[in-house]
Amino acid sequence: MNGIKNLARMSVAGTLSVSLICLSMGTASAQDFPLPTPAPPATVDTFTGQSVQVRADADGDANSNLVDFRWNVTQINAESLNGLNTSVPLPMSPAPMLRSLTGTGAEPLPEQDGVVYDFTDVTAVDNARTLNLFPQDEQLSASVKAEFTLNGEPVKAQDIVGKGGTVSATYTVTNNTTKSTPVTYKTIGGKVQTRTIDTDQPMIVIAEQLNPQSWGQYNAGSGLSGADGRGNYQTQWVGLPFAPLSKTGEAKFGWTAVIPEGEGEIPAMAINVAPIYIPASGKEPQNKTGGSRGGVPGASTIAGGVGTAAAGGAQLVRGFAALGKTVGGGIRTVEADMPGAISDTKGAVKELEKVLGIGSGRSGLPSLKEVRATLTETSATLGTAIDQLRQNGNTGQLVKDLQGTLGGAVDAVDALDVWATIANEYADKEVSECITQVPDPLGLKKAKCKVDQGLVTAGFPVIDTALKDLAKILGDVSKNLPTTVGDLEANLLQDVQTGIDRINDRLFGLQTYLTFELLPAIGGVTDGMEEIFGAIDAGIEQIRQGIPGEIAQIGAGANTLGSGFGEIGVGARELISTLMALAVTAESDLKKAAATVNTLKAELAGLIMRAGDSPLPYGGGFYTAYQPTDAPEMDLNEVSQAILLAGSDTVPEKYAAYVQPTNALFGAFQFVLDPANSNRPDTVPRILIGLLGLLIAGIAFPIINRRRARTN
Amino acid sequence: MGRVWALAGAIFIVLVIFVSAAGFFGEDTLKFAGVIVGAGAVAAYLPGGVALSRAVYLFVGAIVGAVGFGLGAMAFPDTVFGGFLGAVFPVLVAAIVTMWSRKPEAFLTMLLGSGALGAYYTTAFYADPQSINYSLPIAIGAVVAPLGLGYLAGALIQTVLPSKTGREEAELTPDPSPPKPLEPEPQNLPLADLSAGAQGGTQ
Repeated sequence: MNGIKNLARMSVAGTLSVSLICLSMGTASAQDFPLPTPAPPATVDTFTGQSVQVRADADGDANSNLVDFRWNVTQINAESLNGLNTSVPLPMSPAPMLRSLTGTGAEPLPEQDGVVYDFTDVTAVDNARTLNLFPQDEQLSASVKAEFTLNGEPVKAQDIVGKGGTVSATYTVTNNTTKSTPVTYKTIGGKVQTRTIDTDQPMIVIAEQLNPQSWGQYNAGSGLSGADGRGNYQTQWVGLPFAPLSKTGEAKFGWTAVIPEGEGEIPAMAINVAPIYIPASGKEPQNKTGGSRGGVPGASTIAGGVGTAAAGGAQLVRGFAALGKTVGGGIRTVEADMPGAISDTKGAVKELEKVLGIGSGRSGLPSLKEVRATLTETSATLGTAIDQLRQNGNTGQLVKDLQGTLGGAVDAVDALDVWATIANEYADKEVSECITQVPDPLGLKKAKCKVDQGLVTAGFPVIDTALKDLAKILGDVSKNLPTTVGDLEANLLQDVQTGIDRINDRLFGLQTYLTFELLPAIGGVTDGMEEIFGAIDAGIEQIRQGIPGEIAQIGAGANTLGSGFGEIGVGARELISTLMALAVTAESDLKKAAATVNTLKAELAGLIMRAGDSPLPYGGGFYTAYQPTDAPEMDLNEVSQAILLAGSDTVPEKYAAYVQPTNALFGAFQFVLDPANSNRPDTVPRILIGLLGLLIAGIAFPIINRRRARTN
Repeated sequence: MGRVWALAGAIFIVLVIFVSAAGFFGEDTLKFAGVIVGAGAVAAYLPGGVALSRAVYLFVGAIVGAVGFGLGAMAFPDTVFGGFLGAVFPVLVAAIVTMWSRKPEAFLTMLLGSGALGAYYTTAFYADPQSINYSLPIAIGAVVAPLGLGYLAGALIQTVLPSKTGREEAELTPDPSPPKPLEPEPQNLPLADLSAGAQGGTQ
């Protein structure tokens, strides 16, 4: 219980801290999350927040103690300086045990299809808060499951209490909003296509847990950990449970630890799930009369496929590391359209991974990253060694060690040289196959292949030569290593560093060459790629603005996510670049790669569409009723009922002037998982003990007293 | 002197039991164990002595206290006013329930039960609605156990070392104040016989 209270306090403190940090970030933060420009209010601004709070046991079984109580809290702000009346209809139906928490004003009025909150004569900020049970037979948009193992065996949380060993905890947040959605998008070739795909409402998961410091080998995976000063690791996880980031619509996170014997327990866990809501740019009342659902991004955004790649770019947070999964996921969808293409595409990807030295298909050749890492390590080792020399005096052995290390760096560069040679041969071979095997009656294909071949064969030797030069430079440095401390400080480190810088420059040059010289020369696909690059940037910005950063529960997560989007962009670009490389190295797979990218675009377009869904647990809430100063008097409750009845359709014309979009919607699902520890409430036995004491005292002792009195 | 020490000893033993079996009773129970055990013992010493009805009042008081806090939490979650209502409700219900008995001690016994629960609940839990079905049973268990054992301890001492008033007889001590001087008793004068006609004066 204390754990839960501490967790709740910690969440509040953490959110405050993050908020303060964000505030202190000044200009940069303001650029990332631009603040709205104050404007004189012409209507009534309304802000609606709603969340369902679920209490569950350590295994994630909701309210397993007694009744399945899932409480829904609603908070509405109405803001105006004009003394206007407004009425906020929410499709909360049914809403059992509905009650007002504000006491006065804005009493909720249960209507046929929802609840209406009336605000009268709003001249500043009026607010309403209500509480009700969420319908027991309705599924929440998100659900939580917890699984544990003790020494590799699956167990329940309570089975870990008081024991010890290697314990792992896996928390799974499942997105339950999957539905088939017709998506219109523009392909790489410029065609506008419509495809029906399964899409999820995008969500952010932020989970927080306090785990004992006494645990050994604590590994929180992707979680970020700190200390709470009370002997606990304060760990926070951020997850994105939606396709195409997660094909299953799940976010998994957790920890492993070696728990000392007798100290086994599962601490409380707080999990907040907030749907990402991207409101529509246009919020005029006529949206409602025109049948728009509001909240849904404009068709141009989707058709252009611009924002689509951006949202899906989040899938690529890990860049190259996620390449295999991402392409594999896209290929799954391609399967239906292009039977047999999967094996070819996968093979090509594997081959590419081998050449680049990434992913699982390693060929033994060092990757660019490895070479860089080796050189960086060399530099660090040299720095350390020089420090030691400075402290202990120069010794021949240390200098030899330095030479050895530097020699390793040279070997790495030599290996890079080998890679360049093999890559050269590889490209040469692929292009040759292209020329000989592709049916090409008009000879256009052959001609193009020849161009490609020329570019590839001309390009790689340039890099090859550059790398050889670098190897020679480093080799010279290695041979001419000075033997005194002073020389080391003056010459060696500088030379080595210069060599490393040169290598890095060449590596960047290689990348630049591939991206901006070789690939554009292939032609045909470059324009599409540029579109996707633009899409990534635009989409990221769109998502950023859609993050409901003011919700306390996701404040910290939004910050993390915001910074994460920078990496997403990089990852997405890397993926696209790799796909481009795939197209270059295997001309025959170009169409399949394009199909994969198209699938990805379709999925991302669907994601953007679903980001227009209401984030409120009950849904809806896009429109409110208000009384314009220049319009005839109208019963706003009547207008609100019309909005509720209309659902996603249009309201009758006579109400159109009284309908306006909601300014902001904030929704969340909050799961509190109770701890499983030695303080487990043995409620029934405790009550029985107490009752036994009361009964003995109440029955036995009066009898004894009476007998004693009779005896006397 | 002896009865007081016996009662203190009994309560002390009960508390030692709670500490020894903290794994069973729960660490949070220990926080208010002293107060709640004491409340149980007090119930045994209220006028009327030990009886089954007293035990029932104690238990019902704890239940009513739990219901009160549950309603307070549902009506005004996590607010001081909700907590206040959670305390007001048991007072009124206890008064209604014990009205027929016409015994203030019955009312006080119920208040001891509900008060013990209030002390525990407000410190161990937030008064938020989602925890009602979780926290109230825990609170009842954490209060009834020490309440019952405290009442048992008080009843035990009441039985083993009985006294008519429930209090130890005070030792006689000489009155240090000087004796007041005796005043002459007023003499009762005989009343005049009015039936005999006017008396005195001249005829």
